[in-house]
Amino acid sequence: MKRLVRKEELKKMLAELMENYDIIAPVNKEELIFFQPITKVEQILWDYPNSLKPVKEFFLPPREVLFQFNQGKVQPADLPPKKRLIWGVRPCDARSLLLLDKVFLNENKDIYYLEKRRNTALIGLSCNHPQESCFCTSFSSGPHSKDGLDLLMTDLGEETFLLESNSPRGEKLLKGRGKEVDKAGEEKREKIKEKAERKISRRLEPDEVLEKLISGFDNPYWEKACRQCISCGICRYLCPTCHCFDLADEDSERVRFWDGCSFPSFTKMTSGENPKFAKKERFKQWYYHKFSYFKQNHSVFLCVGCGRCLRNCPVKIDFSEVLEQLPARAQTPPREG
Amino acid sequence: MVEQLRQKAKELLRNRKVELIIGYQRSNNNIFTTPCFIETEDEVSRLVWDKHCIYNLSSYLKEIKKGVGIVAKGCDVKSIVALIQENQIDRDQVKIIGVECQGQVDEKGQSLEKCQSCQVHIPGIYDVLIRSKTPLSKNEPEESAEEYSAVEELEAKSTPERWRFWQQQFEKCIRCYACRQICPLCYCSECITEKTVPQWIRPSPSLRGNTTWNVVRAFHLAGRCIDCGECERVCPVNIPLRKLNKKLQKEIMAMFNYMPGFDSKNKPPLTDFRLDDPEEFVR
Repeated sequence: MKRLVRKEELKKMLAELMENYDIIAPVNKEELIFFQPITKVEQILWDYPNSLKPVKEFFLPPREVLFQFNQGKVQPADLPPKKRLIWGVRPCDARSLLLLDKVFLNENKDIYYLEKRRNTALIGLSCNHPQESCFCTSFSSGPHSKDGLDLLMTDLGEETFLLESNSPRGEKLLKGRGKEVDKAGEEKREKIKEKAERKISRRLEPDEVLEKLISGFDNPYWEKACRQCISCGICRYLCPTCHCFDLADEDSERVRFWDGCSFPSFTKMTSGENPKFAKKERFKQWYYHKFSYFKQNHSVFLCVGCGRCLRNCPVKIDFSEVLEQLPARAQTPPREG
Repeated sequence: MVEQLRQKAKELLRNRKVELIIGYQRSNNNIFTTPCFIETEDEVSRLVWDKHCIYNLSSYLKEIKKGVGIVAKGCDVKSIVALIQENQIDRDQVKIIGVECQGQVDEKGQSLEKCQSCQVHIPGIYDVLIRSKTPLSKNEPEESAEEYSAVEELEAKSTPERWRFWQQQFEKCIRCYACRQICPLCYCSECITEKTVPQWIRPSPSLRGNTTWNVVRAFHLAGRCIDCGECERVCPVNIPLRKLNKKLQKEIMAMFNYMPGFDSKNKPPLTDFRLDDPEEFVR
């Protein structure tokens, strides 16, 4: 279903939805963009460069209590009772949830993740102004992709939005709103879409990358490529598809929280053994997980091209350049003896 | 200056004084820079120097300690001094290519806050000095040059107000540890946050653990932090970490009349003792 809806009507729709849903939307907080629960429609940003943190934080929170234990009694954590609606999700982030589903909703379903997914409607906002660091079009997706969304909104200008449903839930939300889309509206949308896609000049060829990674595991290249990296967790934590976590008991709570393969302690085991202590190994792990292991296990690359890693790296490592410069064929080291 | 820099770098490599030079190169967008590692004379042409060289490269000396040359601004050299003081690097193993710096700008083109009260346009120590074509005449530290107005503003608030302010800040922390990783003086082989038996600090991002982490980080740098401001620059959620560092700098100055980063022969006050110390517990 496609409808043309005026911005005023959208605001009314949101206010209505607030009665039944907890609304999470992009807001500006001290010059940073965050998705957070809102109570007033006026707080919402209608156009914004993508948020600092991806929306994965609402499905795999940075810190999540799994259960509480007290004197032999175990109390499972409360799951959110009220339905949630995330408003203004960018297509790249929506797609990242489809990738996370492959991890958390496989034959062993993660109930914490599942409940949140089931409970949450996703209303997307087409990305009309991609940034220099964006490369979503490298993954058979794009700034106007509907993948993973219930509903996609596209700002056509002049206070008008084109809304498209992409699920029964989205259809229900859209029913009876706005007016039918005319030819002019369709054409305008097409133009805006093409313009946004053209703006994305950064390109990665993931299939070529996969091939190079397979042959390049022992390439001395990695020794040099990792030098710049300072081993912080920014790229891992702000990545919409990174999903590694750690578990700990804090007082009487079992908590799960984000962890990242860039940290020296990431693979440290109880015995003290730490197979990926060397920076090179940790640096490599990220690329291999995204562009080799995940692809081989799930037939899809674990990257949506949102560009957060590029924008936020404290030493400006260009992640796609690291992959581009990986030599195509492994240099065989001279045999000893 | 760039030509001079490349020339000196070339000489250091040619004469086998160093095996590697850490410097700045253009980043992909052609405006900003990114750290680079130069091993051959041919690669020297990648080196650049201008007002976009914000990184304190001495952080890499935590990993590369021998046969290394490093391009360093006056502020960066202060942390090299601190690393020498704390026996983390051997002065003979690190060739300092000091650059005269007239201030750095961020990605928006705004002058960095730390540059506005800079007293070290010319590095305190160096092996080679690259001077600007239009050299700044003065470099002598001014009596009240250290800028504490941001600290004083906070000090003027009541304790509950200050606590609220910092709780709001620490609440944002995502525990990415970029502040720790970028800091040249955060070099513990095992950080307290990584210890699990006992677990001193809650590892998950929550107000309690975040507060402990940020306070421990700041305390551990008391009398050591040279205020390069890199922690604040890299913080993805904009926690004003320099305010904490400056507060401690101010306290150390008042208590010990000591400013870190200037004298590599001296010991930092919190790692030293005197037999004539007025405090009983020291003796």
